[in-house]
Amino acid sequence: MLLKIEDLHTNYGAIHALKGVALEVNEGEIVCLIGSNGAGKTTLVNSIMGIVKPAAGKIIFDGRDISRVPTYSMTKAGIGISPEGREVFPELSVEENLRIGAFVVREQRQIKESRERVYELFPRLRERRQQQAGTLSGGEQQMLAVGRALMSNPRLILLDEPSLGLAPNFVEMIFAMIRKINAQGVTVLLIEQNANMALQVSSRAYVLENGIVSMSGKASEIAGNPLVKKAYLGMA
Amino acid sequence: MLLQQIFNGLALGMGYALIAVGYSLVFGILRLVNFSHGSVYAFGAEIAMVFIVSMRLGIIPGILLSMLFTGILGILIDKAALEPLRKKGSPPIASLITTIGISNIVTNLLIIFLGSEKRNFPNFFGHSGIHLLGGTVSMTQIMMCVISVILMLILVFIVFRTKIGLAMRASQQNAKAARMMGIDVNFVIRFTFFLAGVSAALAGVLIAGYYEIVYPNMGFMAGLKAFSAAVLGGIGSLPGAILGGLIIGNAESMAVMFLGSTYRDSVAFIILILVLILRPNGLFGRKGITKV
Repeated sequence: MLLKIEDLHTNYGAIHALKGVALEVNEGEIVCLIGSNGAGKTTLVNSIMGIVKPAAGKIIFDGRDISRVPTYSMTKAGIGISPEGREVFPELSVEENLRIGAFVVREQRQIKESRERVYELFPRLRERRQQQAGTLSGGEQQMLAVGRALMSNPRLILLDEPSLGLAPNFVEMIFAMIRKINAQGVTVLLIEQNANMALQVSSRAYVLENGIVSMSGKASEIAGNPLVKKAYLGMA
Repeated sequence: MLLQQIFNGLALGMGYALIAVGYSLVFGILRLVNFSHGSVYAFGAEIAMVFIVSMRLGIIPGILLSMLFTGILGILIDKAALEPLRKKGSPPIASLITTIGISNIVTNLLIIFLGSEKRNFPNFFGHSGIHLLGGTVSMTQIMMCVISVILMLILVFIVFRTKIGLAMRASQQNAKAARMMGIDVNFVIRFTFFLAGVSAALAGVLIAGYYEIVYPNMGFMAGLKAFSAAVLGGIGSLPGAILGGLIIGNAESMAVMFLGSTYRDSVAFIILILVLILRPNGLFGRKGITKV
């Protein structure tokens, strides 16, 4: 097991945002976490990344409890992230953004290889490599955010709302990329509001509701669940 | 005569630019006006005096040691006073007031250990000069410009061409994302304070050498003028700080010529007020630093 979260409680100001979340991600999987706005998805991501400190519980990555590890050590531990809202560095070029993604990598050769890999996944980024990231379209910025996360050769990649605010053709493309990245051996934890697409690419799924996991199982089974259909897939 | 004042202004302006760079670097990353910076500059000049005159370590080793120690002072200020405030998530005004407090602490420590009186600072480069276009440029002025330009080039190289510089720029634009990418932002901030301290110390040595005088309060006025220079250039911008320093230095020497030396200290603040009214982002400032 690559990531194991046990009985995680996190407070967000005065709000008890996560109330005992348990979640597991096995090596090689695509796992998705779906839930509506305010269910605690982002708090869970922030807890994994050490941006907020959990009040109780454990986050075990690769056999080691990382719940008290500072944020900047996560890439070194092997976790890459494409954060919600993309958060690319607007005044740095595409290439510089990618260089930052490989900040913890020491070997120049490895950085070059990773960059080639990202440019092969997203040829658009190669075309725009000297351009300031802030001038890219939303979809291109999302590609950059995912590419940047891959630069450190992570074992696990967290994708926080990668489809948010994107045009439909970009959404299709991003999800196709997720499959491709996973096929290259990267484990994926996908956090999505777009439950429909997320359930299609994932092998397993968790439904987060009011700070607890209300449902979990095979993605196909979750997608077939009448409650999920009604609440998240917009089907009667 | 006019040309002479331009030479004077350029040399002085280079000194201000070196101090202004420190305001800009720290502001860029913390969005904080570090009002202790003037006292850091005075500290640099004072301990250079200790190394060179009292301990007789030689001019160049003395200056280098002073730069090193002043850089470390910058780190200590951040580590002891500002980092704890960031950790607690205190409002920005708390940090601002803290820097004013630190300024007083540093100045008073200098008074306690070195005395409050003005003392003669050695002139390193002699009084010889070159006659140029009807004016005289002293060796001191030439060296002030040369040394300042070298340090500026080093700073520009660090910020735009090295890995730590890339980390500085990334942290300026989005500290949270920088952390998620593996950058220890607190280390980057300490490094920034170190660079600011190093440049301030060099400015202190050069300006003290220029006026041949050193005293613990010397950072007060120079610090405020350099702050005006940083605002004029667009605070947070490295080229802006350099240009701002040169303009303020020249404006000051022009004021001496046309208005008399009584007004020399006021002109920087007149510029500051005008900039704040007419062009709050400064010459190179970005409009409303936004985070995408």
